[in-house]
Amino acid sequence: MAENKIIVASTPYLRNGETAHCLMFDALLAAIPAALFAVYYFGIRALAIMLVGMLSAALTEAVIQILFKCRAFSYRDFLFSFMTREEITVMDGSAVLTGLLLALTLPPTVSLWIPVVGAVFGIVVAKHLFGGLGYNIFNPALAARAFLLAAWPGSMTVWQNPAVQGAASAVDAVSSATPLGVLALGNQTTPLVQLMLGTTGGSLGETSALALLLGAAYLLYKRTITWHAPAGYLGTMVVVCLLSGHDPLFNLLAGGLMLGAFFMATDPVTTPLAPVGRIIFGCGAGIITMLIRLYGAYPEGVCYAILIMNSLTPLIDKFTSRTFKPDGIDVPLVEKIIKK
Amino acid sequence: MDGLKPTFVRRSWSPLPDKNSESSAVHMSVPEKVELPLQDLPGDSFEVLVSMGEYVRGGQKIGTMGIHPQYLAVHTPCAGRVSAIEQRVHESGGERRVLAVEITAILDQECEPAMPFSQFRGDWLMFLRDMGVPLDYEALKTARALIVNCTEFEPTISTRSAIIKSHADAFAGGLQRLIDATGLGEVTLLVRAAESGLRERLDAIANRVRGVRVKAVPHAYPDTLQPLLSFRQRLNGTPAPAVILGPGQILGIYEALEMGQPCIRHLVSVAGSAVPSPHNIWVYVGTPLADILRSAGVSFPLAGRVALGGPMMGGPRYSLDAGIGKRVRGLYAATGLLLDDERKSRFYKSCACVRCGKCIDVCPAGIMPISIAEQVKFYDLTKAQEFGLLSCLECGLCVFVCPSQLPLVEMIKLGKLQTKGRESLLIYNIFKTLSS
Repeated sequence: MAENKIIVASTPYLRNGETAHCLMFDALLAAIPAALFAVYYFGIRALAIMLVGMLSAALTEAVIQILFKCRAFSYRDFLFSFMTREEITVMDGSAVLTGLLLALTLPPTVSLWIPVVGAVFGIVVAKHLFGGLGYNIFNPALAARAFLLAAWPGSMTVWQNPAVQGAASAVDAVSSATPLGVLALGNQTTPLVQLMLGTTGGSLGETSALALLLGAAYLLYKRTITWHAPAGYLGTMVVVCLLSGHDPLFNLLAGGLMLGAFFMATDPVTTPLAPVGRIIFGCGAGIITMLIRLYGAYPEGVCYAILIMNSLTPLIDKFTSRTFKPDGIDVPLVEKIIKK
Repeated sequence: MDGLKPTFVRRSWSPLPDKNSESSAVHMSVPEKVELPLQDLPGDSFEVLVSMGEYVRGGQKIGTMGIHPQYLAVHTPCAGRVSAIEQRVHESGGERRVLAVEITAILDQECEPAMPFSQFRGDWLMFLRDMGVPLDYEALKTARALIVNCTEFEPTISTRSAIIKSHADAFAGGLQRLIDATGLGEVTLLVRAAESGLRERLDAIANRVRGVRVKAVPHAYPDTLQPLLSFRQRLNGTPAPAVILGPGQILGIYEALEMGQPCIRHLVSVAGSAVPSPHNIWVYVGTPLADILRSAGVSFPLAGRVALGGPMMGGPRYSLDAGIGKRVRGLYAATGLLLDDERKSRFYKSCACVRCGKCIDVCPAGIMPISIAEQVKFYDLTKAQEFGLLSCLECGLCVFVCPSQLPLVEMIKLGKLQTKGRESLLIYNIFKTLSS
């Protein structure tokens, strides 16, 4: 009888089959309603911006990984090396997601080189200089947007509202403000129905709350994100609005809050680990957003709020993790049964 | 490449129970040869009551694990001749050896008549020790409450529901016996809320036995709870709030006290991709694993993995010659050539943690597996203990859900081994026969 060939490996042997790129793919899929609405509402130029953003992000990551991360990369068998080397993780889709999310935060009137510069900054500086996926402190898409806003404030604040300007093309777009900008300038509010559907001025992906909520529902169903951070974020916004006498619904739907709460504040890498920490993260982001909106020079504060909270994430992690005494053992499962 | 394929279906957070294992249990015939270890670990005390070449009757006591009063009797399940009393290689491999008695069976001889409790001198706990029922005796003496875990954590094991379905009267009788003898005030039967059929049966049992209540829990409770409670008591003296038993042990108590039958047979679920039709088998203690797998229809030679228990918390084995222990309720055998880490698609190899926090959300012990694993990786074991290293139940759910395919449980087990030694490894302790 032939010998048995038994592989000794430590249990568990079962996995639910989810991989890191499943999470990225889910987030990409969830962003599609907002992206489709942007194309429908702002025209084919929106599609160009998003495609340029995604392509340049993926390309930047691939080049970085080929040049600096993969020692054994063989240029002779370029395709084979690219497909098989473990160090090249551009296929996990995180760079593409960064590019798309960055494009969704850009105004529809920007030149096409803006998303390229943003994607390169986000991938190189905000992601790979910190160590790549899993080690970056700041959300690459938001860091890139903050960089672009600081470097080219002129072109980053030219908004366009096709519903108001009729068939006006992007070439002769007049500066028409976002709902929050209108509120800050002339104290006019935009009807809630328009905010819900998204027929207002604003960044590509932030206008339609309905499309974003559709994507968020998918992410929550797939358990790619948890409810903690968005609930803390939106809940804090409502509370602060009520305390300061502002319209909570308007503040929830206007600006980039929905995009920020469901797509940026739930980014796994840059947010706290523990559920409690995620709620604290959301609350902090909500307070900072409202402070910027009420007292700051910018009409919009989601981007900076989340970036500031990103920098506090290690601190939140430190204080939300339970500490055990030496030799301390806790058995919550049994205590749950015995107490009742 | 299923990981690359986008799926719109939500991934489960705990392994789904095996549907195949609901068929009725099969009785396995007496094996040609049984191997009965008298030590759990090299260096444990033991007593041999037979000599080489001696003829033994079925059900005869051939020795004890441990010595009086902390002992557990070992009985031979079959009549036969003692063909070897020697050091055998321990399951952990290498140079570790434990003493085992090998008995070559004489198939046509009957089992000896059982010994009733009335003829025994000593209390009932001593009688159970003498009958070889594998219980946590020290925990039973001190505990205030009893929890009977009727949930199955392992997806491939279904012996608990099978025992409750087929031996409901004996189960109720054993519970009654245990309550009468120990005076335990609080007895809880745990059942998974999704298993409504099992819950109805348990409700009927709870109505018959006074002081018993049924509690439905959303998730199955892992078997490592009782070893963890015992370990905590040994480590820092915290008295265990409850003792946790399984229906199989209750059945053993009933058979020993009512019929005087020693513990020589128990129910084992045989499952895994190597098993054509997974089902439950009543096996005799000491039957070699190869015989059990062969009777379950596994074709040899086997290429793949074999583990005692199930695929989530099982103990991997490298040899099929050793006999099955009293506490082993499952046998998992999986074939496959792609199990090797080298041959996996690169999407299934472990990559950097994306910090999604799923391991924390799913952990039944309420600890942060990824934080502990990080500390173990940096050899900061004090910090790892502060994060709750020793509270880990080793259930493997964190590995099950991890999108980055990180070996979290392996890291945690490594940390435990380095801080408190082998005693703290619960996965080993759930298969240890004499646990006190």
